[in-house]
Parts: sequence; C-alpha cells; structure tokens
Amino acid sequence: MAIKDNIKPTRSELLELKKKIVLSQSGHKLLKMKRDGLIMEFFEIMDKAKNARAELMKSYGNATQKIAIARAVEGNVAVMSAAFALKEQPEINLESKNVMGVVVPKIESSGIMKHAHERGYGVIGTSSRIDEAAEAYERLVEQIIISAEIESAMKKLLDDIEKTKRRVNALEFKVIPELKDAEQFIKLRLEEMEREETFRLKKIKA
Amino acid sequence: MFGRSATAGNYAYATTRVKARKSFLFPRETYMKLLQMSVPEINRFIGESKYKQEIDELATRYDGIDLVEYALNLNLAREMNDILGFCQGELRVIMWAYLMRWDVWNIKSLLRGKFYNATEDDIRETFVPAGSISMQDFNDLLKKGSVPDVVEGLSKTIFYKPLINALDDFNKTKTLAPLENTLDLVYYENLLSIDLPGTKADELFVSFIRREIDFTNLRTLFRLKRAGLEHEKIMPMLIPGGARLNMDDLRKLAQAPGFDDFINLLKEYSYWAETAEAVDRYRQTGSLNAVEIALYKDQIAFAEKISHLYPLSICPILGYAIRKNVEVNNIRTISRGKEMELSDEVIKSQLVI
Repeated sequence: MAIKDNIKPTRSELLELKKKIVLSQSGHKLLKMKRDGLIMEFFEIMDKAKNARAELMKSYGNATQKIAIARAVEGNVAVMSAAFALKEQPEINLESKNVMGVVVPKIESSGIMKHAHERGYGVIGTSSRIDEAAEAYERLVEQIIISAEIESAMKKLLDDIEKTKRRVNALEFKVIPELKDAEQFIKLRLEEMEREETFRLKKIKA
Repeated sequence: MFGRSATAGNYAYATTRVKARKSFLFPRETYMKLLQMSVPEINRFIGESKYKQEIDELATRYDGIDLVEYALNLNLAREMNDILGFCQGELRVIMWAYLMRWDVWNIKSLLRGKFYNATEDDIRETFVPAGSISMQDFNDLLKKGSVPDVVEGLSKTIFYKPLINALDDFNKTKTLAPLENTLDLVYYENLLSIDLPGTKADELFVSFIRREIDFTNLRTLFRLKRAGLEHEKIMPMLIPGGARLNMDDLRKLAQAPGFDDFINLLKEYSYWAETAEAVDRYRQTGSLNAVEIALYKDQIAFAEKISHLYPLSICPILGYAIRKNVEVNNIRTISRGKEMELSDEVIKSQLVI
C-alpha cells in the first residue's frame, strides 16, 4: 500500500512529510557513503584473506607432508604416543573490533608455537621428525586462527554491505519516491481544496 | 645392576640360530619391489610373507596399513623374545639390557597415556611387547590411576629410584619430559655398566653403544640448538659415555651461541664427515630429517660391519636385532608412505638399505 493511500491531506502532514523527505535523503546519502566505504574495506580485507588462505593451504600441505613422514618413519604408534604427552591446550581469546560500524571478531592466541623441549615428550628418545610434524601443525593452527579472523570479518562485512545496499535501494527506489508522491499528492489536494473554497465563497457572494 | 653372569654365554648356539634367521631378512631388492607396488599389493605381499602369522592373528582387530604396522611390531617383539629365549648366561644378560629399550618405550607410552587420560585400550595399542617387563606387568600398571602411581608400580625395576627423583621436576614443569629423559639416561647408564668379559667383541659392542650415545646426543644438540635453547638447559638432556664426544666436547658444542656457530664448531669433530652433506640438505630444506638419517645409516653400517668381525660373539646377535628392526622400519616406511601418498623419491630417502 502506497504512503499516499494512508495519508491525510493537511498542511501539518505536508510539513511532516517534508521533514521525512529531508531525513530520508540525508540517510540515503550517509548509507551510500557507508556502503562505498564498506566495499573499499571489503576489497582490502579480501586481499588479506586471499593471502591468508594461500598461506593456510601452504601450511596445510607442509603439515600433511611432515605428519606423513613422521607416521611413515616413526610409525603411527610412535606419533600417537608422542601426541599423548601434551595435555596443555592453546589459549584463544575472542574480542571484537569496529570496522565502519560493523562489529568484527578479533582472535588472539597464545601458547600455540612451542620449542622442541616444551612439547611434553622427552627430547632424548624422540626424533626431529616428530618435532617437525608438531611444529608444522602448530603453524597450521596459527594460520587457521589468522584466517578465521580475516574470513569471518570478511563475511560480516559482506553481510553488512548487502544489508546497507538493500537499505540504500529501498530509500532510493521506494521510500523517497513514495514520500515525494505523497508530498505531491498533498500539495495537489491542498490546492484543489483551496480552489473549492474560493469557488464556494464566490457562489455564496453571488 | 647386571654383574657378570656365573655362566658364560652359549655363543655358538645363539649365533648359529641368529645366522639362520638372518637369511630370512628381506634383501635390498624386496624394498625396491615394494616401492613399485600399490597399497593393496603391499598388504597382500606382507600377508603372504613371514609376517603371515601376525597378519592373520590381528586381522580381526585392524585393517589396511594399521594391520601391517601392528603385525610388524608384533613380529619384531616375538623375534626379540625368541632371541632372549635362546640366549643364555652373560649373552642373555647383555641382550636383556639391550632390549630394555623396549621397556623404556612401553613405560613412556604408559606415562604419556596416563598423563593424557587416554583409555586403557588406546594405551595398550602403543605397546611393543619386546622388552624385559612382561605384558602382564604392563597390564597391571595400566590399572594405575596417575603418573606417580605408575612410577610407584615400577618399584621392582632399575628405573624406579631415578624416576622418583625426577617426579619433583615433573610436578614443577607439568610435563613428562623430565621422566622420559630420565628413562633414556638410566637405560644407557645401565647398558654401559654391564660387566663384560672384555674380549675384542665385547669392546666392539661397547663401542657400538657409545656411538649410539653420540648419535643420540648429536640429534639432541641439532634439535635444541635449532630451537635456540641455552646450554644450561641442554646439558641435562645429554647422555654421558659417548665414543667420540665426551661431556666437555658436548658442553663446548652446547655453548655455541647460535645454530650456525654450532655447525661451524661441529666441523672440528670427526662426525662432520658423516653429517656435512646432510647439513647442506638441511640448509636447503630446513628439515633435520636428512641429518638424522645420515647419522642413523652410519650407526647401522657400523653394526653391520662389527657383526661380521667376530662370528662367535654378541656382535652378530646385536647386528641381527638391529637389521630386523631396520627391516620392520623400512616396510612400515614404504607402506605408510604409499598410503600417505608420499613420492617414491621421498620414501626412498627415508629407507635404510
């Protein structure tokens, strides 16, 4: 249902509508600026996300190769046994930051990368293959955290761009034209009422 | 712990039996043939070889490459137990002490499992029943609730007192590293303390153990210097009694300020000849794997050499035990490597042939 179908053609309504039109136009301008800003931010983050994803794939390939060598040479049993030696879990802190009004996650981790002597198992009885597999997986976890932060920020930005775009379009193609139509309708109706009033007065005089 | 036995060993009998067994070891060509096979073909080949009995036994519990790995471990364990069974007198004492490395392995697995709160079945799967402590004893230890309880349960072994002393460090650091390192140190200390008759062959056996200590120390140094650890923290992880690197040499190497300085310092020692090429490969790949394999191959070559020198001594028996271990490792490397889709070139570089 159009706005004008529900509106009373009065001067106060007209004033109210004019205010709404001004507000919608400034809102439209601001949202357009926000949309453009978000798109620029998105392209920047997309480059970072591409690099992070490439790094992640590289780390994954490396970790797969290292664990394959460790499992082949040391045996699955040895790798499983060494994995039992570490109980400590890495700490992951989840905070948030604001990018042009969009709240995106900020993930910080600690205690992922460890030295050979900090991984729980004894150094004397193990080999560098176990160290290298563990190190490759530690790097992979770090890379996953970096990618998770960037990619979830990218997804949130994308959602917000979509939302802002819908709002801009709604204002530009629906709300503002309808408000303008309603304004035009009230103006015409008021003029018509004025003419009727003049005609009535003339008829009474005659 | 091990004084000289009252009876001399049955060298003639034991070495003859070992010689017969040695003839069943896979020749080099078999590994080359395995490298050309696919995973199912390897499984079938192993299932029809001397590992058939173990494959058949374990086939209901495992499948694929896991079945091959567990069957190889079981076969190795049985082979080692057989050797212990037919060795007598001082020969048995020496082999007993040498095979204690599997006790060390099993105790470590048990401690790790208890530390991680793994299930009894998961821990049991990591055991290799080739040592001097019976699987029944390990099953009893499996029922213990915590790491200190497991240590208490080892009261009848040589590891008990050193482990009790290391428990303080375990409680402070909350890692198993102090206990595991203690087990390795006690193992070598015990091996070097055996009272041997002092024949040339015995000297060669001791020199093999000392070279193994050098190999282990060098491996530790390479890893810890790369990690940038200070020498005070490295020293407790080095084993005394090496053949060519005494504690002063090791301290000097550990005190090198950086990894490159350590490499430059290592050039002054005789082990540089064995490691130089592998260190170059490390510089290209960033992996110490090549260095470890070079040192290990050198150690295996030495064992092979001494096994031919004195036919009626501990040396051929030790040589066989090592070759059997190498065979098991090689088959596992090929089959796991194939399963994990490693290239033939990478698999080949990990083999000791």
